[in-house]
Amino acid sequence: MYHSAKRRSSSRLMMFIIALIIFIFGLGLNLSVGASDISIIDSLKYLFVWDGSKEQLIISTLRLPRTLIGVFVGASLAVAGALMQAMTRNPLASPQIFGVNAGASLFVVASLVILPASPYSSVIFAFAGAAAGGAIVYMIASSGGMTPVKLALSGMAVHLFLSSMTQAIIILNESGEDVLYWMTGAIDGSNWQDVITIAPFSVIGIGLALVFSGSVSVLGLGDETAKGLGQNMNGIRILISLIILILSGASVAVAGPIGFVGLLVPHIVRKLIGEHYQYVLPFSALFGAILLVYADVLARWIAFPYESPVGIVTAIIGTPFFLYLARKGRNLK
Amino acid sequence: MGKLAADQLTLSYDSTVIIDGVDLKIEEGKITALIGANGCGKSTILKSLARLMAPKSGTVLLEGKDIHRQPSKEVAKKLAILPQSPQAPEGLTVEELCYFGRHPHKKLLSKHTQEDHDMVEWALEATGMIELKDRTLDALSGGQRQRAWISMALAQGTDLLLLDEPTTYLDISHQIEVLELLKKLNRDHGRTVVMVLHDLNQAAQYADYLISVLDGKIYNAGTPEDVFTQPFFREVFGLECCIMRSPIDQKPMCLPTGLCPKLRAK
Repeated sequence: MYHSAKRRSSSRLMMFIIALIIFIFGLGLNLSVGASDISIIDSLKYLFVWDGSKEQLIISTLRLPRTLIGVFVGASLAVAGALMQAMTRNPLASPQIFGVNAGASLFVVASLVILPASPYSSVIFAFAGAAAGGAIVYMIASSGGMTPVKLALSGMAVHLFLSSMTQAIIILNESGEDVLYWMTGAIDGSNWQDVITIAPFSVIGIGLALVFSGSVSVLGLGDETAKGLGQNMNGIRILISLIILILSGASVAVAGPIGFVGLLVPHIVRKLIGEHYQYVLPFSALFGAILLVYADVLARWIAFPYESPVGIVTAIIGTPFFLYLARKGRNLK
Repeated sequence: MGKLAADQLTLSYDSTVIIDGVDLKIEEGKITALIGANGCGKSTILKSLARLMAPKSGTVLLEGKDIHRQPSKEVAKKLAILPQSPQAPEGLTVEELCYFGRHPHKKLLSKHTQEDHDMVEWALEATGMIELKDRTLDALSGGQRQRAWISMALAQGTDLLLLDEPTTYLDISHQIEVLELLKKLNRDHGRTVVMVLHDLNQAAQYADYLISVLDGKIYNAGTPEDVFTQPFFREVFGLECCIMRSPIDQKPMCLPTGLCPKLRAK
């Protein structure tokens, strides 16, 4: 009777298991690659067995926090992107296109210059900046009906404006390469404090998104149909916006504005498993984490033995994909 | 009294009044069609009856109570609305779409119940979509797609079914496919159907009651025989026409013979 539904859910389960294996292998790879060579097996073993060796010290103080940041930031940005695309019913929506990342960056950089940095103050500034950037783009793009093209244009304009403001602050204050490096989106300097900063926001944000995934799916049917099904539209919009701000703000605060994860991942996930957000959201979290964990490995290889910002890698992967979407977007009206 | 009614309903977009102090009552267990010229406000009335649009003044009454004072989810268990040419994400299957009809019955975090599965299967069966349930919407014909949407509205399990121009953009055979389905749902499953229709002869053939709208007011309402009069066609549509009886079921039909002289002079 529910034969096909069963078949689909078993193929989802298969996909989840495969993704999980890729993910765990990625964790091992991420922990093992670096200036000192540690095998994948050993690096995974060090997570559970304490032997006090130098390798273990490297893993537990340097590499593990960095890997975890990759997981949290990747998952957060991907879920934020999926929520944005669902809420605006717009395939080009993502924290980057929506000016959210650029707004958060501007506020964080400004706060670094004006106030001495403590991790929590930069998170708060990131939230405020994310909200400001997102609100500006939303207001411009939604006047007279939001189309993918209008969102992309106004989002890019605001993104560029906010980014140049940020650069102006950096140049005027001669704050040097550190901040510039951070601006590309980098997680190689991450420490446990960063993990503690992002983890609660990431877990709460993604958890809330999963709880309300049914309502997120209903938004895909358009305003009138969703209202007709009894969905409280203002309530769910406000809630989703808050979740997006929490997830992308916290990500920018610890890792800088890493682009393309929020755009790329939800598209791949929807292609693979369909349009239901009760599946799209957890898969996006997993795929986002995978993308960033592997991108972070590549970031170490590009200019070995020097580290490169992981944002460069996601941009290299993401740009062709964005162009593909833009070409396809011509048929989207 | 009927389940759904409007009392002194006034509707406006911004400051433009579209509907001005209208009273109406939907007959339970019947098919009612809202008719009128383009832009007369018939779709606006339907949206307001489905609480998609708040009235400027007056009330819409569902089971005797103001529809806007009832929780939207509770309303969705009594009344289903299908907007004009609704959009769904590409790649959604018919069955997945149909399950959305169970949204008002679902609590946060709860799984679909056996009742949900039964309702969805019944709705797919009733709309003749059970064989096509695994197709994605973009792989369906216009008529099939509309039937898929109707199956979603049916899965809501409501007595009232409101549809905004369910036959628009469909060719004639698909129009009849949809109208026959609605007639079957009314006759065999007791659904009260309210719809906006453009084709007057189809409205007369399929609806038990017609409500015609002109200049923000109800011009006349009643059975097709009551509504189809020469003055009605002249004043509401500016048409001269010949009113005949269908040779099959004696329902009235109109054959337009030209525009009113008054309009022609314009």
